Amino acid sequence: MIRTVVSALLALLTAFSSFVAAQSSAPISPELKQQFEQLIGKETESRAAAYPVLEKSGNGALVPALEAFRSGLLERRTDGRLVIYLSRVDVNGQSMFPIADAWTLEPLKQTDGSPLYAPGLSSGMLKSDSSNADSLARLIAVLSVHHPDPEKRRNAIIDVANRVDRTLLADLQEQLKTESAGEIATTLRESIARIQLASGSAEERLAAVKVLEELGTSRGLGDLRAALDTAREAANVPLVEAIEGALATVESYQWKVRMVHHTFAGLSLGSILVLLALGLSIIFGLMRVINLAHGEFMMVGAYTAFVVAEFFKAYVPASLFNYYFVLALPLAFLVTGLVGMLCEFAVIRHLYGRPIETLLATWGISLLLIQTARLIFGDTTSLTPPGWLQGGWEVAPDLVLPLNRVFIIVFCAACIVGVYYLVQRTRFGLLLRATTQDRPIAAALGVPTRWIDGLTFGFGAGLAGVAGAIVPLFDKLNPNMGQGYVVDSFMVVVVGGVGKLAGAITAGGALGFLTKYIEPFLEAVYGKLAVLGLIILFLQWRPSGLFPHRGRLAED
Amino acid sequence: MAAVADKVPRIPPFVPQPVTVADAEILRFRKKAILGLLIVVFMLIPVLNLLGVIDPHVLNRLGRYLCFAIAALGIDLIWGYAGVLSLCHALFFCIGGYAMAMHLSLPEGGGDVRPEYHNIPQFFFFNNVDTLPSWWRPFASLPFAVVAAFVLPALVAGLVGFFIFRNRVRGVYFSIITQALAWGAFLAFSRNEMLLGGTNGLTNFFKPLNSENPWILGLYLLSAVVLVATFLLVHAVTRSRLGRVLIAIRDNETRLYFLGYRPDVYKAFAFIGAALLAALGGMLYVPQNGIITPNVMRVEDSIWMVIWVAVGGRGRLWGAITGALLANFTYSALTSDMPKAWPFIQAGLFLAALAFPNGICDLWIKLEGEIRQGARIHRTLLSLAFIELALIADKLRVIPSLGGTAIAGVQLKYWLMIVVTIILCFGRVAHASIPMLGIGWFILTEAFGLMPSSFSVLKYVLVLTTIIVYAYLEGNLVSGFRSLLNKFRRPRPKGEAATVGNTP
Repeated sequence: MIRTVVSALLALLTAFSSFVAAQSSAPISPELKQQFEQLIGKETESRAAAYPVLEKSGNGALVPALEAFRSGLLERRTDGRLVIYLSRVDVNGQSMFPIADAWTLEPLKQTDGSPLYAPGLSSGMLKSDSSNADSLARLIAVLSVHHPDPEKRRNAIIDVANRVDRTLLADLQEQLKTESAGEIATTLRESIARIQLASGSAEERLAAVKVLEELGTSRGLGDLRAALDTAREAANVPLVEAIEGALATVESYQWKVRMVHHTFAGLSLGSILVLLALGLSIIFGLMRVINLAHGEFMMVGAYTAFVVAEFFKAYVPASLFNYYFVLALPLAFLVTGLVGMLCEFAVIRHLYGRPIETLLATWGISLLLIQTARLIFGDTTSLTPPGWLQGGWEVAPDLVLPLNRVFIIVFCAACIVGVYYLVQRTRFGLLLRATTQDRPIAAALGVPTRWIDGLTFGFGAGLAGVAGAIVPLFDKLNPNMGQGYVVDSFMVVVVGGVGKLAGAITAGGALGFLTKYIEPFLEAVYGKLAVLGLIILFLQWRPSGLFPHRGRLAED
Repeated sequence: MAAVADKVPRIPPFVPQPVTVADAEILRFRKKAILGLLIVVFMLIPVLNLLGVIDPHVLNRLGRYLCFAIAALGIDLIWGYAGVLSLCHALFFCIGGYAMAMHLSLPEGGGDVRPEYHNIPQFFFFNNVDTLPSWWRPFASLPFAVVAAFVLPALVAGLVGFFIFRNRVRGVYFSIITQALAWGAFLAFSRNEMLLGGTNGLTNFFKPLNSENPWILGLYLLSAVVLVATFLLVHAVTRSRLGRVLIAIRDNETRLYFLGYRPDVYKAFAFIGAALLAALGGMLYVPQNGIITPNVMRVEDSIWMVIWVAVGGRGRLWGAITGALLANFTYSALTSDMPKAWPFIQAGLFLAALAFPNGICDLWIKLEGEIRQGARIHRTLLSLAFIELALIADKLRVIPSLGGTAIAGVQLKYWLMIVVTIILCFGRVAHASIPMLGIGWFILTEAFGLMPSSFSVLKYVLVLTTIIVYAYLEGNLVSGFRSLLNKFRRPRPKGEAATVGNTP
């Protein structure tokens, strides 16, 4: 039963990934292929003749083959097929070239269906000689504007504007007519305006300023500033006025964009801090244990994700690699939770009621975990984020929300809701709250307080592990990675009020925002110090945090 | 939760032994022990150094560890007496150290400056600074540097202490905030814009300070004198009314508060005092170490300093000093013998320090108790003296190698020494003196630099053996093992706990 479900899921995933891959190909007519053959052929005249024909075709699907030809990664197989070598990948510890068809970009298969790899370049690689380098570069630049891959197309368009290549202006304008995707159309308009602003006639420049003002992008901002200087030198009064007006608009837009970015970064940092602080806060509320090893539980979670990724690389088809994260998150929770329960059972259980001693003991545990990780994994490693979390989501021009941060925020929000549900609505949560509020009475009523302690410690550690598993999405892994976060998350606990879920959530968010808002003005380090000073001042105002306990629990 | 903690009888976290009114015999014994220690520190070690038995670099290491012991006294004052765990002690140590290092790296302090770097410390050149910043200039005078080394940490400690203690932030909250402070300071000092050398720290001092003998011996003696002086000072403070109030804060702050005292003032005093002691240690440490970097002020180092005191026994000044020396000699021995295992052993030390809350000092209490009951330790002292003298003679190449045969990698002559040592202490010796023999031998031999290189494993075996022998003689071995086994059985509440509920 389970096997059927799993295999069905796998089939679904494979179908989906091949669908994604197939989208980016576009047909190339046999005539074009023939022209391409001439271009890479030996005959000098027909070679020269091929360039204008290909350039006129405007078929961007030719670009991969042309680029491979330029860099010597094109090969003719014995059956006459043209193939290109893609960038090296790691196959069973060896660095190999994947091979793909030059026209369709589909990977070549061996007879058994597995992808074909080449250990190195063969002697028969086709490579352009230096005589036609300029023509080839120009051809690639022109065709790249029509490249089938949107990302590459966009980069090519920006590149044209950066070089102020007025000869390609017509190509850009032509492409703008066919372009449907919003982002690229915007980029095209921007690039056209930038070229016109730099090199056009007076009317063109004025129109370009209007366009750039409307778009408000940062690249346009730089060009506008440069244009302002030249316009002043030329004493072109209407242009200067237009540019000054446009600059004000664009700058205020860019400021808004930056603020949205800081808010967003603060939100994602804050949500990770909240995940950590929730675990700390629950554990401290229940057992009065200051868990200095919390950051190291986070590190354990991160390395669990790393191990899962390595496992996928070694044993699971490459097409499924992108989905390792789906497995890594729950595994990180389980593994870290087990490690946490082990620590509770072996050490912390014997130190209840002695908060300062537990502080030292958990520090000892953290040293152990760090050194173990260092012996096993070495100093710094990194993890490839899954493909579906790379890139960004462009909401407005220049306002790109990185997908990994979007994911972190959504995921942490889900986790927080889950924790809230668990603590407030389930039987385990009920027993947990009972033990937190009055341990002896809860024990007298039959609550297995020792088991609750162990499970809660494991649960808190597991939350840290999950937080750790999402850190590799934007950061490198090293055995010390937890320490930076744990200091911050302790601050969250102190500010929020100990043992209070709402406090941890509010304070975590606030601390995240504060850090990210201060960072642009001060250096990151001084930002941290400033936040620390603010926290000490805050404690003058509310010594037991935002949400202090009331009544009997407030005595401490 | 607080209510719970008040109702349930707490497991006493750490039971300070009452200061017993010792009888005349114990007092005589203590006087002799102190006299013996002073003779070793102020006469034996300098003489051995001048004779060439103690190498300069070994004496230099001992001098540095004495500076750590001064800082440990501060931790004992705030943690052992006032019960406040500060996790930024290494920061104060470093502030004192940096102030001294700034003086030492300027030409007036003998710093190694060169014309091609504009005659100012070299790191400025690499940070594109051509002239000495104005706030560096006063450090050219030694008195200013010394005053600054005291005033700056006192200011930091005073400000933090005032703001935190004022609204009764206590216990672990204070530890967390000081930990964050240490972390932030470490990050700040690692920046180049601070103009304090960034991660590379300050170095290029007057070379002979930590490489040539008269300087090393002088600095060692200075550290020893300062250690003795600070010990007497802190001892006087803890014996005074003030010290009583500090102990009262540790034991029941709320009650003290209701009695009309202001615990925050006393705690701030202890915090500032601890910071000053740490700064003093740092000031003496820097010239002997020859370099100071932000790596010494990490949170790890602060906690490591706390562990020294925990190992030695908190609430006892002797304990702090012994703990600092023992932990650091263990550190230097283990990091050279098995560097990869060191963090594991360090973690083990943490846990061991918690299992024995009174640390090494328990042995001393035990020993005095045994002496009062008529036990003698002359034989132990004799065997300790024998093996040290034998090792000194060996270092002077007086002892022949006896054919050079080796058993388990250790030469025959050393085995003979060990056997004679063991035979010498056979007889009726105080049980507690046996592990003290082991530990004392380890500290002394490491401090003198006499440990034969082939003892890399043997020294740990010997020290552990003395401890096991002690545990066996005291009957703790079997019962301890049994209680360890009991921990894995279902816990059954006993006595009062069974009636009140389960103690958390």
